[in-house]
Amino acid sequence: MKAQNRILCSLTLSNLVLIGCIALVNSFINPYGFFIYLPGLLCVHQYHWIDPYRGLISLLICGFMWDHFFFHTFGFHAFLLSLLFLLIRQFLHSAKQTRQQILYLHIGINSSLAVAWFLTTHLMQTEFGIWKIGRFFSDLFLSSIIIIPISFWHTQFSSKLIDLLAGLKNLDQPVSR
Amino acid sequence: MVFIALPAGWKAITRTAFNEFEAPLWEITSRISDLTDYWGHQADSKKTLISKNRDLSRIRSDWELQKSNKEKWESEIAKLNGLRSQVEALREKIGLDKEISYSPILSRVTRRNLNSWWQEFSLRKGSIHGIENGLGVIFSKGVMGRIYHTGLNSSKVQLATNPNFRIVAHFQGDDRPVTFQGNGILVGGQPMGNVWDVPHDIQIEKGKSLLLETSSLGGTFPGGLSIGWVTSLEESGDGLFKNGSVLLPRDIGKVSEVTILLSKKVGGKEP
Repeated sequence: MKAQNRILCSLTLSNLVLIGCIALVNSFINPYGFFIYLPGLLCVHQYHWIDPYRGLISLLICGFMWDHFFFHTFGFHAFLLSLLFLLIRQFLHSAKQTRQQILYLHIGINSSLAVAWFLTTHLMQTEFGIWKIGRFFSDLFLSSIIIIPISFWHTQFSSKLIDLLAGLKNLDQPVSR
Repeated sequence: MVFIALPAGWKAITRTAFNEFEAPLWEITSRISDLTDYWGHQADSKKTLISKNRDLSRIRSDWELQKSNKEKWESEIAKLNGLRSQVEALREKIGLDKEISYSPILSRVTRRNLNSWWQEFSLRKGSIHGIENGLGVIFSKGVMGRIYHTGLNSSKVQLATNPNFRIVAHFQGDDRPVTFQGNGILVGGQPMGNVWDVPHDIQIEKGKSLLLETSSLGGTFPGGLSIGWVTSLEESGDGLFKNGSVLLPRDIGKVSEVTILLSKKVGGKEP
């Protein structure tokens, strides 16, 4: 298998593990009126190691999975994440981001997606209820706090998985610290 | 844009495939969690075992007490059966439909998905256990929801708090039908619902509340099951009826085992 395909599989797997973990955590905390919303984490910086077509395939799979697991309009996150990925690809290409910059990127993408979904539930006719404004702010606040440790962990996890499955380590030292 | 243009059939197939793919994952997770719980109890301290034994002996003594009342209950059952046959005879005489009977199926919850816009539970039982879409689901404190998706070995429950959950209900002690609809879960975990079409003469005194119950008119649930409490009612826009908010039991989101009501009239098959 080509190295690019192995990276693609590693990144998709690491994102699917993340989605599964978030679903499990949500299953425990949801009864207390909180929901952890973290699709922004799926846009990991390691996607710049593969060509955009493979990156899009991986993000589409993960986005569809997210939509299915957390009951969004099927394809909403898949296509929005892909669009955001194409937009920020230039930023990722510089490959000189620190962990803090990656964290800001994750928070930025996550908040944009949250706002987009909030507006969709309010403005468009969907089969779902609305993301109530009180819940929106509390969920987003909680998610923005939880994203800090998970962003660091997920970045490391993706790198380790690529190292393990594709045998590639620090292609261009993207994380300086 | 391409995805929006895709036919609904293809989207439905994809969604079903995702469902069947994901269900075993949650079942494994849930079984591992049960196993962890079991092994956790294996390591219980002496103190814990003594306190559990004490609770068990209390339950046993209560059971003995109930056994001593057996004769009394048997005569009550005979009396009730007599009354039931009288009611059946009267129903037949005036040409009313027979009441639907239900048989229960117990199932464990594998996963909860309770965000603001959609509330659902995944269950361990599916179509091979006789589960069908539309069956009612209850728990110890009343109505839980309705089955809306059935896989081979798993199913999904639309919770009573789900905005798409709508049933006929009535207030305790009042036979007139009203409409209940789910209204999400508040921050802090209070499950909410709305009640519509409440007759004008129903009043709630300040500091008191009315119990909302299921009505047998809907067909999904037997009549008289608790839904939630209504603390206040306000005028609807048309001035003909009243509306209000319903407080559902807080435990609704924390339940780990539920009962599916297999309607013999609708489901047909015996479990």
